[in-house]
This record gives sequence, structure tokens and C-alpha cells, in this order.
Amino acid sequence: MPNEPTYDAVWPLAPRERRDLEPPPRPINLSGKTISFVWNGLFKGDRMFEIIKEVFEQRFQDIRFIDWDAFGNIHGANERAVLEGLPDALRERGVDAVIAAVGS
Amino acid sequence: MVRASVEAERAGIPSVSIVASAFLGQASVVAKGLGVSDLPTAEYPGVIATDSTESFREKVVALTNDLTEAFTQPLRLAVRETPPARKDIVIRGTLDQVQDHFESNLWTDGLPIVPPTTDRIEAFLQHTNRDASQSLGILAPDNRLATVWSVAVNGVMAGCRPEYLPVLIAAVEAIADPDFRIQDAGSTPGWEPLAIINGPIIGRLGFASGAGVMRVGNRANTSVGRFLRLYMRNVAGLRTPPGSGDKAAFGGTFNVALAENETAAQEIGWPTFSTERGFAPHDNVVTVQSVVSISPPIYTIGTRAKEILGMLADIFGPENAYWSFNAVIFGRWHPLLAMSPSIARVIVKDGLTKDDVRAFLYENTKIRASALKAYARRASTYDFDLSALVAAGSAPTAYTESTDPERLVPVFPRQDWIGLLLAGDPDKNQSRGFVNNHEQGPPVSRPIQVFEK
Repeated sequence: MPNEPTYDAVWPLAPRERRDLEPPPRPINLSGKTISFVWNGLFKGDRMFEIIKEVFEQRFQDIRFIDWDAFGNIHGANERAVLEGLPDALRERGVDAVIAAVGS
Repeated sequence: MVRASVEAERAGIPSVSIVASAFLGQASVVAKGLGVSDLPTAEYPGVIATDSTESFREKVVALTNDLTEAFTQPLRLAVRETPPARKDIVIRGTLDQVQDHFESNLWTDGLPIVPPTTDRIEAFLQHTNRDASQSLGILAPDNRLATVWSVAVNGVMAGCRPEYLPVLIAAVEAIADPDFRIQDAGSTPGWEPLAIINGPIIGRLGFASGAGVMRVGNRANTSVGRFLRLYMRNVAGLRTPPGSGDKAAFGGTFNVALAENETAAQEIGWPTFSTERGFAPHDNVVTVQSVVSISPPIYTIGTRAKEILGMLADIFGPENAYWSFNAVIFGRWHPLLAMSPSIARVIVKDGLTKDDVRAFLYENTKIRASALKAYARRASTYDFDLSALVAAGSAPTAYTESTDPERLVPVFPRQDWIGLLLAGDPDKNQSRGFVNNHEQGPPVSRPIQVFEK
């Protein structure tokens, strides 16, 4: 269309805010390690963990597990408190690796 | 779940998230918002809820290989963006060219937008004394900074009038409150925010509160409702496919803003929705809460309060009953009932207060404990246990007064959680119920700071 006006439009989003994060070293071999499960209380995560334990105990020597209920439900009524306390709770228990479930 | 993984990484502990196929995109959006690219995941292929026990076991055994492999993968941080400066022009073009550019970048809600030009944005900013760069909070999952400027930009786009800006700012402050849990607004139930407007600003800005109040049509109600969803897409990052942040299985359209009929409330001597939440009658207030579904029209007939209340309970109770398992799991739930003023008048004539209405609804809406458990299972809470929830404090003791699985338990765990307001056609005998999505989107109120130059 002739003489159609033009528009100078600006960005409708906004800058991201993010906290610094120093990724821990990888790879890790799970033999001899302490693995903790953390769970959002949904989608049979507790049954998944039982199967994973069974498989990993055969696959990795001296592997140890800490069940999800040591930390609380990461998606329940106390989610905020559980997540805030998670780093300390993991360190206190000497956890080497975390398996989180279930995104669904 | 991804947030827990990132918290573990932050503590120096490698983590892997187990994610069902359809949720890998959303997990990636959440991780990116937290500064992580390629969060190590192990994929569960398919739909857990419809897999047989055998199939479930086979898939979990198979994903143990991915888990092992994922612990060898380095965690990569997301590349830091270099965002445009506030007044940078991202597109110069005709109306169609601007629409196409915004649409292809997923910056619209699927409807045409008003191009956000600096002139139009500046016109909005005339209606606040706040600095354009002022932070209103951070909105997950994208973790973008909500500012007065970005509110004005999206307000322009949504078709708001400049003078609506104070309402928009208050609404964004409400959804940015951590209590609102905007990070969960992309959950599969697909809830929508509902902005409830109270105060003299209703008349001043021309908000509708009467017939057709929840329809698109009136500019103030419609554009404020549209703005809220658009802002959640653009700044929180809650986008349906081809975006990935919003996993609503069905979802719904945005809710237009709901203004209360305060004149009717004053006439019958009931406190308004906002005064019940601690504000003064002359305060201008926005309250935002989640709505996961709206009831059918609840028609009531009769000249006595008990008749009317019985009919309200008859529909409002079952409408909420199916979703009430969430209330006791999460210990939070705020269903809302909007009544036509003509209905409220009958109730008031018999001397009943709003608290009396709540008490009646609490006492006269029950569900079998076995049904509550069955509904929870269907929504993937397989180990729903009322005794454990009462012990944990998220459910009241009324839920365990007997061990009979067929016992009747409350639909509404607490009567003071039921919201009541007056709206809709004042000449009709109709009410509507709004089902809230438990701890996701509880009502959060903010005063509207009107600015006169």
C-alpha cells in the first residue's frame, strides 16, 4: 500500500536476571558414591527410584543411596523451604550426586 | 524438579533430572532461566500415567543407561544474552511487517498487537511517577526482570489505554510476588490469572462489573486481561508451542478483568472483596488469582437464603470437589464465587453475612474420602494418604475423623479460603464459580497507585 505509515517498535521482553553458578566437576563414576534422590511427589518417582537402586547396585560397587524423604517433597506444601534447605541438606549428608524426578 | 537439580549443582553436587519426553522442552526453558544450558537429563519416553507396570519398569531400566551417561556430561552454562537497550528499535516497518516480526519471535499472543513505539510508551509513563527502570520483581521460568518500562510496552501491545498503567503495574507486582508462584503457571492444568478490580478506579477507568462482565467487549476489562497473559508470555516466558515454557494440556483463553459491583455491595451492607482482604473501601486494588476452570451458570430461585444457598452449594460444591484433593496436598486453595447482586439481596434479607455464606458452603459440600483419593491418583499422586497429610499439617483434622474410606470429608478445607464477590447482571439470578489451582496462584493483592500530574 502506498504511503503506508511505518512504526519503530521496541523489544517487548526484558533482560534476564541470573545468579552465578560454578558447575561442579564431571565426569563422575558412581562407584563408591552416595547418591540421593529428590522427588516432586508425582508420576511414580518413588517406584522409579526403587528400580534405579536395583540396577545401580548391580552396576556400581559400594554405591549408597539416600531416599527422597530425607529431604522432603520438592513440590509440596513446603516447596520453598525444602528447596532453600536443599544445598545444606545434601552437603550435610555427604551426597556426591543427585537424581531428581519427575518432570512430567 | 529442574530447580532442585540446579540447586544441587549450585551446592557443588552433580545432578541429573528424569524428564518425560513431552517435558524436555519445558525443562530446557526452566534451566535456561536459571542460567544453565543443556541440563543433564534422562528421558522417560512416553506417558507415565498410561504405561503398564511392565512397560514402566522396562523404560526405567533403560533410562538408567542415560542416567549413567548424563553424569559424564559437563554442565554448560547458558550464554549470557546481550539484550537490546530500552529504546533500541528491533523492527522498523509497516503494521504488517511489525506484526510478522513480533509473531515470528513469539512476542504476541496470536492476536494483532499495537506496535510498541517509544511515543506510545512515553504516553503510558505519564501515568506513573515511578522510574521506567524500576524493578517490579523477577518472573520465572525465564527469570526476566519485570520493570515499569516492560509493563508499558506490553500494555501498549495489548491495546490498553495509557491511563490503565497503574492497574497494570499493580497486577504485575501481584504476579511477581513469590507467594503467587508464577514459575508454576506453565503447569499442565493450564490455569489462567484472573485480575479482580476494586475501588473508585472501577468507575474512573470504565471497568464493567455488570451484565457480560466476563466477556471480551469492554476495553478496560478486556485489554487488562489480555495484557496479563501477554506479559506472562513475554516476560515470564510462558509460551505454548512452538514455545516450550507453557505445558497447559488444553488451557483456555485469557480472563478479562473482573470488577466488583461495589455499589451493590454497599447497598446490601456487605464488605467488598478487597475490604475483606484488609484494604479500605476507597483503596484502589488489584487482586490476581489463578483460575483453572469456571463453573456453568448457577441459577438459583427462591425468596429465602437457605433455598438459595442450598442451590449454590449443589453446583459450586461438586464443581470444586474434583480438584479439592490438591487443597489438602498443598495446604492452600482459594475457590471464588461471584454472585449476582439480586442473589445476594435474598441472602441478606434473612440477615446472613458473607461469613455465614462461607460456613453454609463448608458444611453443605462434602465428598467421599475414597473419591478424593481416586481423583488424586488420576492426577499422578499415587500415594495420596489423608492421615499423612493431616499429620503433616496440610489437611485439617476434619479429614480423619473416621477411618471409613466412604466417609464424607469437606470439599473446602477451610471456609475462610472461599472468596465471595458481587458481579454480573444485577437483574439475573445467576452466579459463577471459579476453581483456583491450589498453591499455584493464590489471591495476591496490590494497591493501585494512581498518579495525577
